[in-house]
Amino acid sequence: MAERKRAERKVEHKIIFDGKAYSFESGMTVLQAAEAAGIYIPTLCSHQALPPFGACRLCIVEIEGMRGFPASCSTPAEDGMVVRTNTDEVMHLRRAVLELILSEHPTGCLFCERKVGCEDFRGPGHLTKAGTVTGCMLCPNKEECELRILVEKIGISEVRLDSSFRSLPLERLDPFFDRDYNLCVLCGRCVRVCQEIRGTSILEFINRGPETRIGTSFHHLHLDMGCQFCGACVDVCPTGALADRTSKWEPPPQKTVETTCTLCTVGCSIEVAASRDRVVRTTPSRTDGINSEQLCVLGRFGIAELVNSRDRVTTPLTRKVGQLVRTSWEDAITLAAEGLSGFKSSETALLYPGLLTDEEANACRAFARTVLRTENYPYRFPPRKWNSVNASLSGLGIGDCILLVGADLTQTHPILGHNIKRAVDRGAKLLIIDTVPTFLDKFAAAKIRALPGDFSWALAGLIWAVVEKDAVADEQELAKFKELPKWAFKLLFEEIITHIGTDERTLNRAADILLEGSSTLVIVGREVGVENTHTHFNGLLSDFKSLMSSKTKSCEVNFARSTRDFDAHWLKVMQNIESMRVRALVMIGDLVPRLSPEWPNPLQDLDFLVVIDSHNGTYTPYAEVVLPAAAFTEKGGTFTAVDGTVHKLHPAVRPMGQSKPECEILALLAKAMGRNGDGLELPRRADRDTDILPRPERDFALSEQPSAPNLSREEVKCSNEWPLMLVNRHNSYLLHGHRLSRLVGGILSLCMSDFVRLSPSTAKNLDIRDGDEVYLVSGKGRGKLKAKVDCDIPTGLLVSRMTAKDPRLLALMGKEQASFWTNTAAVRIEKSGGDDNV
Amino acid sequence: MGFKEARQKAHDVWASLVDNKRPLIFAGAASCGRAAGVQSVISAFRTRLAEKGIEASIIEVGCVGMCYLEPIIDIKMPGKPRVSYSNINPARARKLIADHIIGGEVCEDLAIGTVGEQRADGIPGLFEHPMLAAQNRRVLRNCGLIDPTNIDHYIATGGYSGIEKAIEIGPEATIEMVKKSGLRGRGGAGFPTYRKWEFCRRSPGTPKFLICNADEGDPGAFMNRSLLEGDPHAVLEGMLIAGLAIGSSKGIIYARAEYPLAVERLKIALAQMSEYGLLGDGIMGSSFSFEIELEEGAGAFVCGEETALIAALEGRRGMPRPRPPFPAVSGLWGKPTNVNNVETLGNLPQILINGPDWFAELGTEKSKGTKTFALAGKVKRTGLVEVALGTKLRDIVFSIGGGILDEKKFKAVQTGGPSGGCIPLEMLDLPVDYERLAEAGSIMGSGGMVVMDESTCPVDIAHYFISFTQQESCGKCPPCRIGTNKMLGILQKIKSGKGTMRDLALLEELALTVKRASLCGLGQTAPNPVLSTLRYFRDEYIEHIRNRRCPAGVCRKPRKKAADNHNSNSVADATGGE
Ligand SMILES: Cc1cc2nc3c(=O)[nH]c(=O)nc-3n(C[C@H](O)[C@H](O)[C@H](O)COP(=O)(O)O)c2cc1C
Ligand code: SF4
Ligand code: SF4
Ligand code: SF4
Ligand code: FES
Repeated sequence: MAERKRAERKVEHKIIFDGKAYSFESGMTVLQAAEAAGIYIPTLCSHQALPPFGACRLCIVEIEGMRGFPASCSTPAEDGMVVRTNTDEVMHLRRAVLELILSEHPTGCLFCERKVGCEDFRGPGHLTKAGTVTGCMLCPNKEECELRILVEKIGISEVRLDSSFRSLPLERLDPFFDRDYNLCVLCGRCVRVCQEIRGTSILEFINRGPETRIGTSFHHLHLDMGCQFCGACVDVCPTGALADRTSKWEPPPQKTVETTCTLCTVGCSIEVAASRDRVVRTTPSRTDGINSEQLCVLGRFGIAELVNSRDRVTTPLTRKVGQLVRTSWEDAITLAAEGLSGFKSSETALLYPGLLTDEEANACRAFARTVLRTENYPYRFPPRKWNSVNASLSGLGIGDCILLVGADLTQTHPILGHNIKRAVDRGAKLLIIDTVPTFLDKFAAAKIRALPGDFSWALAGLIWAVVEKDAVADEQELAKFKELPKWAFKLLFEEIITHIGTDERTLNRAADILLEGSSTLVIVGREVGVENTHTHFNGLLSDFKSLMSSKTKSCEVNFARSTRDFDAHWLKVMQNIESMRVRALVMIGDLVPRLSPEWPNPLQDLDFLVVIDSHNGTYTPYAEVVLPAAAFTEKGGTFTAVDGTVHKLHPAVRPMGQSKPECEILALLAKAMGRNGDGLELPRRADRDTDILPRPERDFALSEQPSAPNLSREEVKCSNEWPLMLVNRHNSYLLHGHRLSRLVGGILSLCMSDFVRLSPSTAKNLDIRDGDEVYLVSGKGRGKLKAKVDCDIPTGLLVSRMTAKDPRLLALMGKEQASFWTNTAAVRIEKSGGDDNV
Repeated sequence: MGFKEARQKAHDVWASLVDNKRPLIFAGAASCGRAAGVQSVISAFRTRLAEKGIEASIIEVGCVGMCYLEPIIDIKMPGKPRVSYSNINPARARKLIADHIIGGEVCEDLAIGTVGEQRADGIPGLFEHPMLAAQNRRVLRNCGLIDPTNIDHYIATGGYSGIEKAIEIGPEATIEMVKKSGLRGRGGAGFPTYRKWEFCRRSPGTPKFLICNADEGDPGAFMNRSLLEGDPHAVLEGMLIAGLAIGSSKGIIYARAEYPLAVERLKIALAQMSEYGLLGDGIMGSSFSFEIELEEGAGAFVCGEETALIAALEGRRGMPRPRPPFPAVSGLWGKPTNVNNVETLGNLPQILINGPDWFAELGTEKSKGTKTFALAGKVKRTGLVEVALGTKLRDIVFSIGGGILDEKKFKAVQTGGPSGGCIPLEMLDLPVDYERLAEAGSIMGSGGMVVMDESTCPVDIAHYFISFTQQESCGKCPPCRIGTNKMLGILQKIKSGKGTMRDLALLEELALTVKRASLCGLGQTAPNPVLSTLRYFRDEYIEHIRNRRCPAGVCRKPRKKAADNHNSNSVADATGGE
């Protein structure tokens, strides 16, 4: 890493723009040097986040010694270069090129002689909603259009060429954003951001010549192409061609506020645009956040819809004669306090979600301890600080290896997944141990498949392969290991390989990659949390760490578990609730999973339920008191992310309706219960010193990591009757236990997956073709899915991504299994199957 | 088998052809011969020979360049000269068997010449034929004469001695030799080959790649195709030499998928090279190792542009990117890469064998050597020709091409295909080299040459070529994508008699914008047909506008829905409608 630092040291050079000398740093393009010198050169296709493309030709200049008119955005600046940015010829060509661009774009409003009056009169935000945009007045992009700026700066006042309007239909069948390619100027930014930054390659230039367009291959929907709906394309589009639906017809925002997204634990910096106390849009913050100006679908498109949802609870509710009715805060608090006071402390419990601010989490614990005086509350380990890198992974590049163990980060920590992809772009090598193919697979140098519960085996195999590589590995070295000997003495390498079903070559290649690198970063994901052999796993992990630390410069182990993971306390609390030892419960969020309304309500035997929540949830109808909570865009505080970094929250809008931040609610409740005790003088603002739970100063030893409760997973064995192994990994997004697919329309289409993927040879054996409808049959039930033949799936395995609530999944696996994040069943495939009971 | 033994074996094989024991039948079976129906001629030969119980060998060869005479069949009886016959059909084939093979009599009415030292009575040598006599066939020396699927034929005629020499003298001396020869790239731009090589050789990074650009996509051009079909080993040997020179061990041929025969011939040739130890590790016992991979492109004109070609090879959309960085610094997979044209590579073996001075004895001061041209259009003799650079256009059109068809008047010649320009009658004495063509508003390009007679309309020509380039624009940059399309619209308007003088001015302005502001060579040269016809035939444009009349009688008012149909005199026919 030291070399990298040195290379970053910039050297100053001279360049001459229009007769005057300026200095620039090595590595700059002519355009960047001009910008640094304060010289304006018009651009359209270039974007600061993207490598040069040189397409639009607006940034052309004259450079002495170079033929023709080079594009400044793609020409590296050189010492002593003589550049002319504004000769008549250059200006003329720029006008001519812009004129050509505008001949393909609606220009009515750009050159209208009444433009000024029209815009003054109509004012901002007075747009006419129209299907197709034929002028700026109808364009969702009007306020921030780069084309309009160019017209002004370059100065053209008419288009002498025949206009060629493309008359393309508006594309509205995908969630979240609309595409009107009639407005597209083919700058290619969207294509490049999708391919080069996001690694998704959904968008591409299609056709050629005058028919060139932006689109997906074969005009498939984005949904079918695997679009992540990250919105990166929307954010770089200089025109109104790509426009997000939530803010499309909103007036320009009155203010923007920098805050932190708390929809997962990554801690992305976002910019919330608000208008009249309503969140209009959220975009990645332009300051240097952990997410380097990128977001996932939740942060980009989910927030506005979520916090503006009609499902928000806006007033306190209490049960009167069996009915929940609106009431005042005083009334509701009094009722709740009286209700709770009627129980013994050991009969009360508090459940709170992981994605609260640090202050709120502290307040919850303080409330449970000092107000309810109960032990029935979940314990949350604060995330550990990662040692050398944080979740931005920006320090990783050539020479670094990243090993993901059971970490489907694109699902659980989307931007962390994205950052790994970027690290691979910079030269880091990625190894993956996981059950099913994940998005990051295509960036991995080696992939080891392991069924749920087999991660220890896979890790043991990897350690073994590394040890075998090194001839000097002797008894002494082996003796240093704690866990491995138990495996090594019991098992031969071959046995491990047979057990996990990975071939030796893959393990050896992975070992080579590890040994070639100078450092290894291990990220253990939530999959491991449901390991059967969890304790072995932690032992092996520390063996791996000491092995790699001795072979290479460094090895670090980090955990990217989500705060939603079970911990031991959680399970105990749940058991106490189920066994009716708990009679009264305060629940923040919607935390007790109930997959189907037909199943018994696990909270039905409670005597008293207080729900504090921002949205209506599964248990609001059963509550005695419902207290409306503010959404995270409505409150301040701090948020400790997965890697231990601390991020600030700033309120962008006022709490909706009468809702209040959880801290305040708990404080009111505590006061009403007459126990405004220690720690509940609640911090309104971010204030690190008020931590109630002492933060561990030192690193956890690996063995101290919260271990998963020994949830019993049925051992799944294939047989003649059920020859295939079905692995399902949930496709769900949760916030405080709420399914976002219920609260944010578009998420539902992302979660729904009708496909079961199978290997080409399985498909061939069973004579199944891509797209065929098949029935999966397990010992428990059956479900109909569409077959997708996929070379990435090993023979004998079927992979699906149904949600936990999918009736087909419940039918195939049963309730207990279905609630695991990843679950398995032995099944067989029937091509068309008997009576259709799903 | 060492190369020495291989060469000995090759000489034996060749000797048995010269001194044949049974009748030999050579069939011109390149794409031009196939298009003319050589396949049915060959099967007519087979059937009749079988019926008659005659044992003869039929050898499929490439094209001697006299495409207008195809199918061409050579017959060589034991101890007798090899006689070429033209325009053979199955009936004539049967006649040839009866008369020549069985009867031993040369059919004088069909014969066009004899090949080799021996002569037959009353029949001149083939290379004394007026079409061939004025040529200097160096790159094409083997085309039509040897069996392109037989590496022994190539070795026996001096093949693979060039790489032998290059290995002997080493990379630096090889580059020096090419520098002295004055060889310039034949792919269009005419950049000195040695300079590109040096640039790439010095550029840090391994592996280095050598790419053979066989994506010839201009309508009417088929020089590279003929060479690959007629003498693939010459190009492959050239790749070995270039690979050695730049320090690469990996060569890639990017060939158009529309050239199935060339691809097939290359595949056969590559297999033979491996068999003879001319590919792989330690070629000819030296430390030089080289592999060649064949990739088929999906046919887009712009994929001939080197950066687009590299993108296509990487599996991305074939779109050019700005240079710098040049491929020599960052090319395929970001590694130093050298892209050379088929013909450039095909010239190398002989430069190595015969020396740079031999190469440079032909040509002009700055343009050395020979150049192949695909001569097409309204000349009597169309085909593939190779002349010394600096040869006058008049000689090519009249001596080689035999003048204009149907005794009409010469009007202009278009060089360089859609990227080139029209050169009018007054400039017929222009010596053809890179600089002179550029001065005249055209380019050498890869070597297309379309001759037009008085019945050709320059507006129609410009319209034809622009409609090609605007369709083939990759769409990346607005000047080319939109500009060429708008130019097409204006030309269409002028053609149909609806143009105004303002349109003409706009057309010219657009042409200059597209030429100057486009990103790659395609856009930068696309306006050439318009600019050159405007330069030499402006009065005809004006005639279309002022008097709504096409002097050549080509442009008619568009009929309903037939705006783009050309009538029978248009260029589409002249270039075979490609
Ligand atoms: C639009 C366009 C098409 C081209 N097509 C070809 C082609 O078909 N064959 C070719 O060899 N070079 C073609 N070129 C030139 C190549 O970019 C490149 O200059 C050439 O292959 C270099 O080889 P040379 O140095 O041997 O000439 C084309 C260039 C442009 C701009
Ligand atoms: S939303 Fe993201 S993944 Fe989808 S097309 Fe845009 S950039 Fe690509
Ligand atoms: S959709 Fe937008 S970003 Fe994409 S090419 Fe068109 S104008 Fe550029
Ligand atoms: S000049 Fe034409 S072919 Fe070349 S990059 Fe531009 S649009 Fe593409
Ligand atoms: S900004 Fe440089 S070409 Fe577009």
